[in-house]
Parts: sequence; structure tokens; C-alpha cells
Amino acid sequence: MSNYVDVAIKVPKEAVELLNDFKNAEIVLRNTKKRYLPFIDCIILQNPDLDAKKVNDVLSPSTKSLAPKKTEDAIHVMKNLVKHSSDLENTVKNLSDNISDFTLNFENLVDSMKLVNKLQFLNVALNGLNLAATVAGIIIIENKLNQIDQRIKELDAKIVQLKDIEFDKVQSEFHSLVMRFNSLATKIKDHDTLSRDEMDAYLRNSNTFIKDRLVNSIKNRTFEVDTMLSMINALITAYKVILIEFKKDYYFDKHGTHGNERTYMSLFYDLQSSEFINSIHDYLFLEKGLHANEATIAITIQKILVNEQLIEIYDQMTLMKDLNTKEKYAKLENIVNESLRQYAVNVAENNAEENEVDISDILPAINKSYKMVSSLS
Amino acid sequence: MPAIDYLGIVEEMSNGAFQHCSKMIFDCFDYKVMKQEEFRKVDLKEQLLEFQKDHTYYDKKKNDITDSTYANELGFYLDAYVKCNEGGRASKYLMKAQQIIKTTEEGNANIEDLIDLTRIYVSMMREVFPRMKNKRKRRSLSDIDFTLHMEDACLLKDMNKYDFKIPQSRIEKGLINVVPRQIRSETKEILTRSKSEDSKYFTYIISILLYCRAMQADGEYSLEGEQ
Repeated sequence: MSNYVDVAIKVPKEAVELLNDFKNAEIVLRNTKKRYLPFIDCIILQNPDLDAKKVNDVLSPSTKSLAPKKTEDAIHVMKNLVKHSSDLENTVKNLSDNISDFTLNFENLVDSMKLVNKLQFLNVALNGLNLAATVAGIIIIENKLNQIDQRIKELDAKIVQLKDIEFDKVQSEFHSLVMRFNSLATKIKDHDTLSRDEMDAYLRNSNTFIKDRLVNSIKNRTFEVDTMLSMINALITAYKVILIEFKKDYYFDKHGTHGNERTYMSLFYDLQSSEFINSIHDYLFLEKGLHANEATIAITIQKILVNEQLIEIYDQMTLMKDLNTKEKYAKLENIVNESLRQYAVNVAENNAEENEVDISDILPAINKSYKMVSSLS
Repeated sequence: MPAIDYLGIVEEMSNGAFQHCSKMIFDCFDYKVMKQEEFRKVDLKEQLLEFQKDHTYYDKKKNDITDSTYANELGFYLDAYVKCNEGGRASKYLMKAQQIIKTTEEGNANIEDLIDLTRIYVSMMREVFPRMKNKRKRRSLSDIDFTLHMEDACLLKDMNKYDFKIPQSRIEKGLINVVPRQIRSETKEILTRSKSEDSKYFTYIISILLYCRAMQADGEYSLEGEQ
């Protein structure tokens, strides 16, 4: 308590009630710019000492201006007032100067306002310009879009052209392979000697064409799937015929298998692969809109077609291995051909409907020939 | 007119298909005396009529089963449990399924469409359900095996017994509504519902019927049917 000094402070009426309720208060000492001491703890006295020191005596000189004026110092205050009034005069003078300045400034302000108004006009004009720019922008963008659209159309047309050119190439390659097969088939039919290299080249080209062009174009949907599929089905039969001839030729010559045979056979496995089958299924089911069962039937037919080719190749391979020589094979082939020819003659001579001749009628004869020829080995 | 002529499906079933079908769904009907061997086509028809009357969702004005009930049921399972890699083959099939559901909602679907939907549903759940059942992490499907197998009937039965919980993650991501799709009748009356045992049985029975029909069309029952 020794550090505390009694000081009377005038407070607003509203604060009196609060001061009665609280024992302690805090005073914050401030100057105009900064705070001197954050919070000074004060004790509120219920019966303030009448001899309490004047604030000015207690507070440091720097904070005196903050001290409230006491009634006892009225004269002092008056003196100050006089002093302040002179200050006030100065202030008013300054103010009048300021007012003249202000008038001047006001004039400037009016001018500025005019300018602002002008600027506002300008702003409206700019907005208009902006609008015009927007409209122009839209037109420009529209033009650009039209240009892009035109460009896309041109590109589309070019793509279609390229696609057509590419399709023409595929088609021409297909026709070329068909023609080559026809010439090879004629030689086979006429029992002319077939060059193994010729057959090898045909198989190699066919294999590459079917795998790389047709199968891939089905997977990538480059060309119409139906057309590609019909090309595959046409070529695969021809491919099988030549492959059998090639295998026969090589086997009877070397009694082994050609190095490329595995690759040639792999075409059939590729056509049965789930990737290829799924690709066709997706086309039929998702793109062509067939129902699942219809798509399944189409897929099954496709699988059967490829499998039939494989079965025939395997049958011929078994036959080759059983007969072992070209001569025996040729003999059996002659017998079979003769039986078939005889059958055809019978059908032609008699009415087929009346006789109801069936291919199964001549099968025992063929089997008998086969056994006879194979027993020779 | 309902999209699915359930009674017609039963009628057209071969013996083999019906035997397989009745074996799979007999337990769903609460028979106290009848044995599965004694179950006939006519009994199945009766059960289907009862089932439709009591448990499925009606267009009140037409007093008939709504076209899209079954399709929406499958759509709910596909939405809730199947996640596909974008651009993958499976996602194309899922899109096809959604397309069929939409067609069904518009009342333009036929029985073949619903069989296609069932095939897609079975193909996808075949991949998804075992992982779900074994509480393994769900995997996005990129490819599907679209062919139906004899074991798929057991898968459907297994799914019928399973207590499906809608994956929270899918709800949070807004991929699925907690309440399954709303069914709109042709009169635009919204028939809302929540998943229940009845709807599960309904889905199961109809999916088995369509599955057996598809298998019959694929020639799976040809030998059994002659027996």
C-alpha cells in the first residue's frame, strides 16, 4: 500500500456506480500516439482523502495533458482558456486559410468532378467499347470457331479420303492374294509342280495381311468389321489349302516340319483368341445392337468356321504321318477322288431325289481304301 | 403390359431348364409339404403370381407390375457395388446395362434386353461378389467374361443369402443414393421403396428365371431336357 498515493479523479456519472461495486480499477495512461503504461492498478477508496494530491503533482510531466481539470484550478484553466483562445484564433485563421484553400480545392474538386463525370462518360463509353469489344470478341470467336469447324470438316474429309485410300489398299491386297491363290489352286488341281518358295511367300503374305491388317482393323475398328470379317473368312480357307500343300510338300521331302509352320498355324489360334472373339462380340453386342444370344450364335459360327480349318489341317497331318510317302498319299488321294467322281456320276445319271444317295454311302469305300493304302507302309 | 412375361418364360422352359431353375429357387417358397421333385411349372407360375401380387411394386392405375422393377433392382446392385475402369471394356458393358435400364424405364424393353442386362449383371457380380464376400478391397473392373456358366446360378443363390450393405464410400462420393432408384410408372407416379428381403427374393427369382432361359438358348440344357 505504501506505493499507492491517493489521487482524486473525476469520472463520468455512469462510472460511479461501477466504481462503488468494484474495489480495484485500472488506469491506462495514454499519450496521443502511444500508450505509456499498460494498466496501472488503482484502489478505489470508499472515503477519499480530502487531502489527496493533485494529479499534476503525482503524474509525470509528459502525462500531464491527460490529467483532468480540477474545479480548484479554474483560474488556471481560465488562463489556459485565454491561451487556448489565442490558439483558437490562430486555428480559426488557419481554418479560414484552409477554407480558402478548401474553396480552391473545392473548385479543383468541382473541376475534378467534372473530369470524373467526363471519365464516367468515358467509362460508359469504355463500357460501350467493352460491350462492342465483347460483341466483336464473340464475332471473332465465332469466326474462329467457324474456321476450326471448317478445318475439322476438311480434316474429316481428308481422314475419310485417307481411310478410303487405305481401304482401297486393303482391298487391292485382298484381291491380289485371291488371284495368287487362284493361280496356285489351278496348279494344284492340274497336278502341276508347285514351288515351295511360292507357297511359302503366299502363306507369309497372307499371314501378315490377315494378322496385321484385317485382325487389327477389327480390333481398332479402322474399317467396317463386317467387311473385314468376310475377307478373313474368305482368305482363311485359301490359306488352309495352301498350308496343307506346303506341309505335305515339306514333310514328304524332309520328314519334318518347316520352321515357319508354327507361325503359320498361329494365325488360326489368333482367330480363336479371346481378344479377337471379344472384339467381335463387343462389335455385335455393343455397337451393332444385337442381343447377347444373337451375338453368341454369330461368334459360335465364326469359331466353328476357324475350327473346321484347323481340324482339316490336323487330319491331313495325321494322314501324312500315317502314309509317310508322297506316293501312298497320292494313291489314296486318287482313290478318294475316283470314289467321289463315281458318286458324282451316279448322282448325275440317276435322279438324286429318287435314289437318295448320301455321301455316307461311299465313306466305307474310302475308309477301306485308306486302310489298304496305309497297310502298304 | 409388363415387360417380362414371367409365366411365358416358365412355360417355354425345357425340362432341364425347369429342373435347374426349380432346384435353385424352391427354397424361396415356403412349402411345408411339397418336395422339390414334386414342384411343377404350374406351381412356379402360381408362386410368381402370388409373389407379384403380394410383394412387388405396382402401378396402381394399371394394377400391374411396373416394367422397370427388375431392371432397377439390377441397376441398384450395379450402381452400388460395381466399379469400372474408365474406358475399359467392362465400363462399356456397364454403360450398355444403364442404357437397357433406361429403355426399360421408358417401357421399350423386351425380354431379350432383360436377359442381356442379366448377363451383364451376372458377369460383373461374378468378379465383384467373391471379393466383397471375403471382405477384400474392391477392385475396379477393366474386363469381363461375358459368357454364362453353370456355376453362376450358385453365385446368384449365394448373393441372395448375403447381407448386402451399401458401401459408405460410394454414398459419400455421391455415386449412389441411399434409397435405390425411384421407379416411375407410366403415369409418372413415383413409387419409392427401400431394399428389403422381398426385393432381394424378387431379384433373385427373376434373375434365375432369365438366367435359365439364357442358358437354355445357349444349348446348355439340351441333353438334360430330353431326359
